[in-house]
Amino acid sequence: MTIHSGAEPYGKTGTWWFLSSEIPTFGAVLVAYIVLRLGSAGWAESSAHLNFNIALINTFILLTSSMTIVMAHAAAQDGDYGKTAKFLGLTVLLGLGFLAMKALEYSGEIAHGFLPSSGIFWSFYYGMTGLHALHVLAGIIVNLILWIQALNGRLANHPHRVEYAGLYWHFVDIVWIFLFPLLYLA
Amino acid sequence: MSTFWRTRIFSTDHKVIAKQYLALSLFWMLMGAGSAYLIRWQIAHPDTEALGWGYIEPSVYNSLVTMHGTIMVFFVAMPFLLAVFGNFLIPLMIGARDMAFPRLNMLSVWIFALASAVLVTSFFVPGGAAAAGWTGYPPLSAKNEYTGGGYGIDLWLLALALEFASFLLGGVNFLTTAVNMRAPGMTWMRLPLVIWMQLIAAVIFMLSVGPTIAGALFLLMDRNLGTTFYAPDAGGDPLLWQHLFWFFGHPEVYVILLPGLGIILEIIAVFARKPVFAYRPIIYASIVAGFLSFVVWAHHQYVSGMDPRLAMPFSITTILISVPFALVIFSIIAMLWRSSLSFPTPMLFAVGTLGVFIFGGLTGIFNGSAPVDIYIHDTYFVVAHFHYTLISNVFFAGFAAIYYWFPKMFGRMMNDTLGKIHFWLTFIFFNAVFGPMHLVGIGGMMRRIADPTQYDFLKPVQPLNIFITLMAILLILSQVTFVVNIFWSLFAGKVAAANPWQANTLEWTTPSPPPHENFATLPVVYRGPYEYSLPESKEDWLPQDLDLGRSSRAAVR
Amino acid sequence: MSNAHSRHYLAIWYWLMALVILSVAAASTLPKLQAMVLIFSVAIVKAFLVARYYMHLKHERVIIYAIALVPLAFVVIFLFGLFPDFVFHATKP
Repeated sequence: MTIHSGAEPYGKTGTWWFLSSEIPTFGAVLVAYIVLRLGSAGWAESSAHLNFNIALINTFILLTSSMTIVMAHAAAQDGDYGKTAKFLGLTVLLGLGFLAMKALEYSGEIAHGFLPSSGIFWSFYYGMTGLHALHVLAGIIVNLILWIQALNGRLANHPHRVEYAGLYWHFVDIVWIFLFPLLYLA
Repeated sequence: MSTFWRTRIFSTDHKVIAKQYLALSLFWMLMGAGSAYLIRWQIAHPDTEALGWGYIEPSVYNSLVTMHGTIMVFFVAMPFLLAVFGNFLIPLMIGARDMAFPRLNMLSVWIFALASAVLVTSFFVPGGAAAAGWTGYPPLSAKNEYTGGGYGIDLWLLALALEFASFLLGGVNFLTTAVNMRAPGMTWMRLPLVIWMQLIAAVIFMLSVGPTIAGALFLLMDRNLGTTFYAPDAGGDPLLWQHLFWFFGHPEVYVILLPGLGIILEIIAVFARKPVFAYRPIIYASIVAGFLSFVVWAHHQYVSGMDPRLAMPFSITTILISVPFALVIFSIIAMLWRSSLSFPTPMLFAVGTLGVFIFGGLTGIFNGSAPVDIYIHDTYFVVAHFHYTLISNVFFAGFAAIYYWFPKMFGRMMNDTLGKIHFWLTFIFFNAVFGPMHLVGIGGMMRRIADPTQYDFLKPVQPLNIFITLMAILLILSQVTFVVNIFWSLFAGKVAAANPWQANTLEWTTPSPPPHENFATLPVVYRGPYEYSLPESKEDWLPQDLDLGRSSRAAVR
Repeated sequence: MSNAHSRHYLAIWYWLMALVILSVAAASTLPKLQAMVLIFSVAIVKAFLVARYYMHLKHERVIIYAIALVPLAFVVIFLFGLFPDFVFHATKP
């Protein structure tokens, strides 16, 4: 009996423990933003310069990608790796779409002279969305690897990994669920 | 890939990985001790040439003070207590063949090695190593013109980030392994306390390190991208860093403390030939202490300019947290009562830990009480306090663990006579260094200053400083006995049997050292780990996996 | 089996989309305070939906819930701990 037979519970527990460390990391970033913002005026003026439309599109993109990855997980549970590949591929595309929109948004802001050094609001804006975007990128890479494995058949050796990748991806989505109103709606 | 590389360098075996962490921690212990020597030399004989080194510039002194703290906390205490013993013991003591994620484990130690390389590099870049204190407060750490440094602090932040990543991955491994891979019959309440403590420490670490990662990110951005998180003239606040840092910084000291307590509980049970007194209360108390550790952080910030009304609630929680630890300490003392004591070296160090730690815990009450702290904050009283608590756990308990588990790890016994000499020299010189330091602190000497003689009010304590430095040099030299013992025993020590201490826990049922995959057949557990001196038993010990043919209360899974 | 699952996941997705639209509408129509309360309540509901149904928290053992909720509790404690210094500006100059 190898260590990894019946590995289904291991990976899930491990992924949740990892997420338990990510919650205070993003939590602290958001808390810092909230308390500093509540403590001073003038941030709303800066946040008016944000590109609301791009962020709204990104919100729809990310929420949809959460749906596609959980569909991929359901397909993997059924052993339908063709469907799994389809949904994983969609998730990767949506993730790339998010990053592309983000890049568009950043370039617009930079062109208008809003840099990380432009003040405390922009420090937080770039810090928060930058950290989030890095996490999105990491998730895309994981999802890409699993998509390739779904296509070449290797995913059948460890179908549960779609669920673990999904858990991470949903977490990244949940962070955005809070980032969006904090930055763009408040 | 040749076998040497596969079995020694790129191994996924938890026992090899533990030894890799041990080698790295021993290297950093040397660096930490070296920096301590230079710091003490400069304090006792300011602006003279240190023996074997030369003149210590003020900026170099600041780096030494910074790196001594950083190295000892993150590159000695964490790997030595958590990574070495957690990695080595968890699978063995729960009856598993390896960790849940062996390849992730290998990645963890390699990330730690990378972190070490980054930190070493930081010594050699223009501007030298980080020099803003191990606590790295901005604006000192945010602007190079204040420390005279270059990108030493950026490398310091990178090294810390990598170290955090390594231990986060390790924590995932430890916790998943313990939740999922315990042998049949190994219920939670039959786990050895050393494992419980490792797990609670891992949880505390996982849940507390996030804010400091956030803070470090902000600091890197302030330093390199012109952001203003900590710049008060641009909407930021230096106090933000302090909160982000200490929210982690305080739980971190319990991350270091708990494994040490677990080690001495384990060792004292064996050499007192008695069950652990109050096994379950110790576990619950440690969990409670773990929770409380998240609500005491601002006791590091009483005089930082934070809201003074926070001082009282944080003083209360800080005093409260001494209660669960007192329970643990009293339980250990209760174990010694009416026991069959023997004092080989591991036991000497274990009991020594107890004595030293109690003293450190008592001075913690002074520090934790805001009115008193107003006077002693940032003095050598604090330094004395945390060296009493940290050195007792990292070094006394860590040494106890080495002497105790060395036979299992390396298949040889360490020399007990040399070990006893090591203990007594360490114990005497340790107290000679840090005992008088309390007086230096109460006399008003501030932390981190390079030349106390420039202040008239510190002239009365300077003789103490000179004495402390001499004792510190002797303390460091005493460790030669340990190093010699390790290397001599590795090659010429008495070959160890499987269970030289006649202990009950599962690691002693394997050969010394255990083979790859640990157990020929996975054990089945029938009882708790501390069935020593049972009246109805012929021997004074009863292994966890010994099938006596009677039914057990817990279902065998 | 997967068809029922898929329909359920799709249903949650519709809710999530609707809630986003609701938040945006609130931001531009309601007075500031009410908008904020509604928007952040909605955010919590959305996060709850994703966690409970997409992350399958509904079907998990207690320990998984604890792993998710305890860190959250600590974040809340951290938030309250920082209020005096940064929101009420009680720091000394």
